[in-house]
Amino acid sequence: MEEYKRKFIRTLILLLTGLLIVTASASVYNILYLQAAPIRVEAAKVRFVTASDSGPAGATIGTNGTFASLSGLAGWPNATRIYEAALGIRSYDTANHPIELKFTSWSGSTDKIDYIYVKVFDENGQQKGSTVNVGVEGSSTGQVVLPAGATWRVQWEIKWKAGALTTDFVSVILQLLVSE
Amino acid sequence: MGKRGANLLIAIILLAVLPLKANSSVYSLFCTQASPVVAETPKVVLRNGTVGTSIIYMNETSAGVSLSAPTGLAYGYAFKSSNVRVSTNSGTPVDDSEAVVKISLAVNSTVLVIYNAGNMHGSTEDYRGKGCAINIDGVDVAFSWQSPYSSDYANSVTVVYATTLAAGEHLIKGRFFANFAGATVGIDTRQIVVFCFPNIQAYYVRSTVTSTTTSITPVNDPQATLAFTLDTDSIALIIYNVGNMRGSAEPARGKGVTVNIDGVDVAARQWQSPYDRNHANSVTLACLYFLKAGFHTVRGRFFSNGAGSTTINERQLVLLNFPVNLVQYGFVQSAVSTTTASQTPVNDPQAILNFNLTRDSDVFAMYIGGNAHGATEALRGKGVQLSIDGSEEANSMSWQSPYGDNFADSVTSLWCGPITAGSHTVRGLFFSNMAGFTVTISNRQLLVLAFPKPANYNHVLKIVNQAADPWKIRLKTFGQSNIERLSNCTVYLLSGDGLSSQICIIGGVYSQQYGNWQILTGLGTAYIIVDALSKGSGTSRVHVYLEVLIPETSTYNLMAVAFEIS
Repeated sequence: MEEYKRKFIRTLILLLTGLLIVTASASVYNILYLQAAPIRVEAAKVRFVTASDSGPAGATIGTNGTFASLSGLAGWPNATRIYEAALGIRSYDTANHPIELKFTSWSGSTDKIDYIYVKVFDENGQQKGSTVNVGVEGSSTGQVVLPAGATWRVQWEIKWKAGALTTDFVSVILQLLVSE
Repeated sequence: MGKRGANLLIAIILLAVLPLKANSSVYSLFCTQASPVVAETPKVVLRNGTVGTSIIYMNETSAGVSLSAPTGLAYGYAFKSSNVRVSTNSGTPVDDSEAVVKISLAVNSTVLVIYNAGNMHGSTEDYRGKGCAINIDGVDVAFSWQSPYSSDYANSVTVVYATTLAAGEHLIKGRFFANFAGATVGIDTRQIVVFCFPNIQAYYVRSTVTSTTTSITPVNDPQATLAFTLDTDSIALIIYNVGNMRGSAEPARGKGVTVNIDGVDVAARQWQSPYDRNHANSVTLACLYFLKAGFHTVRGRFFSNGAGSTTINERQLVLLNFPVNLVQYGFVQSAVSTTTASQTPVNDPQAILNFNLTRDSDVFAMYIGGNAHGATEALRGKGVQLSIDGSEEANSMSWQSPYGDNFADSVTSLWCGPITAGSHTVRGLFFSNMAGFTVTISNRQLLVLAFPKPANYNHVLKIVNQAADPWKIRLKTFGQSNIERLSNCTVYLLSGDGLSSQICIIGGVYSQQYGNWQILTGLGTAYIIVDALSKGSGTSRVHVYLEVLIPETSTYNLMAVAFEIS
């Protein structure tokens, strides 16, 4: 009888311990449903567009105007090359949109570059925001408001150091953040 | 929960959502890529010029230029003389087609205009004579009048005017008219000179208030007083020109004038007599005088030559002050009489200036020769002329006849032109208007003002296009130091388009900081030329970009060029 009691107690402890473990590991949850539908493709309200110097700059605007490539930028060593309107940024919306042009990355013969400055100007020739100093982490125009229907130009200024060779080149990536 | 409670709950929810919305970051991320951005061989390069000292830096895309600027005054001038006859019977001013001058001022400037026009003995001239006027931009601004001995006798008029004109283009004319409408008067020879000075102390008055006197000794012309304070020791050019129109009280003996500085009559007198009593009559007097810095008073004074009251209907008193270290000059006046009966010009032995120009200069010369009442003077009068280094300047000739034998008679002659550095002689010549009849110069003024030309550096740099494609080029400043000492510094581009002023400093300040675009043809060459003149010692620096533009775009290169001007 005594042994039966001991076994009962041990079994009870085991059961309680198991219950405790089961309780602690339990996934007690409620399931809610979030539905996102439809997720549509809409026309970009702000787009890259070509400008008066897009030809010399080798500008190609991607489908939908949300990507732009400049493949013709160049400069002479120890002289500054300026493309006053390498690209345009145009609003197709009836509402204003804050935008920010921001340096992301660069590569290549960056040590041969004296400077590359990217500036944004409005139709009146007024610079908007700060100068983007290519190669400087976080450098950006800061957030500036692109008015509805406006087209601004993007100016590139490139200066290679005196010792740059014709084999030298760099690649630059910038981001344009367009807020709703 | 009642309806009120529900509204309260909605309001709380909306307030809670507001900051959530404000802090939302809903944005689109676009990407732009520039690759490759390449270093390319310069297609346009800078090369050394032939003058000055130039350094071409690595890659031939930038340069430094050193040059020196001699001392001198910023000035400009236009001069025209002609012996083409014109005539009119108009009683109001008409253009003398041979006395039209266009000027273009880079900056606001003091402008001096002298118009001297006359007819020789025998040319058609009404006995009542003619008037002359200076017209600036369509407005007649100054007048004078003169009458000869009789019809078709020698008769000349001088008009003087000073003012400040704004930067830009201006049209300046000499005009003339008959003192009696319907009667013909003419001009055989005239000189018109326009000087422009952006940085001098200038004082002047032109008044049409009538003054009269019967005094035969000089009295102040109440309308001809200039009181001023000079900043620096100066050479003062003083011109006093007075006249009365036909009908004003004037004795047959006419009038005389002199100039008074700080209470002293400093100028040898000049005189003139008219056709007859109360006819047109005018006198001109010019002198150079050294004035120390400080306060001064300059007065025009006049007097009757006797036998009646003389009148001034209009006078011009002009005083231009030139810092002594920035101009060269010569002046002689005397009261020693000399005569001639020659009809060909002979030297006035008292009217000679020998001088040595340290630099190539533009020179202004003025000669006035006259006789007082009572001196030997044939009624046909005399002529005067200037001689520069033995060359008689025919178009500087002028003539005048008096009221009658031995009456007052004076004549004015002008000349302007470039003279090279070195020794030179300027003379006043005179002659009788009829051979064998004696005329006299008892007083004369002969003055010479020389304005050193800027040093001309042609060329300090070459711009070479190594590509077959054309470019557009221009110069534009982006920095400077100590340019205040530059009297005149002009940087030009010489290209297939011609000579183009690109950068201009006048009187120590920019009047032009960039130029018009010029074409640099494929494989072509352009040149940078500099003119420089300084007020004194020192070093000035002007930093400019040569902008090299792809035609029909706004893509361009900036090539730095530094000018060091000592």
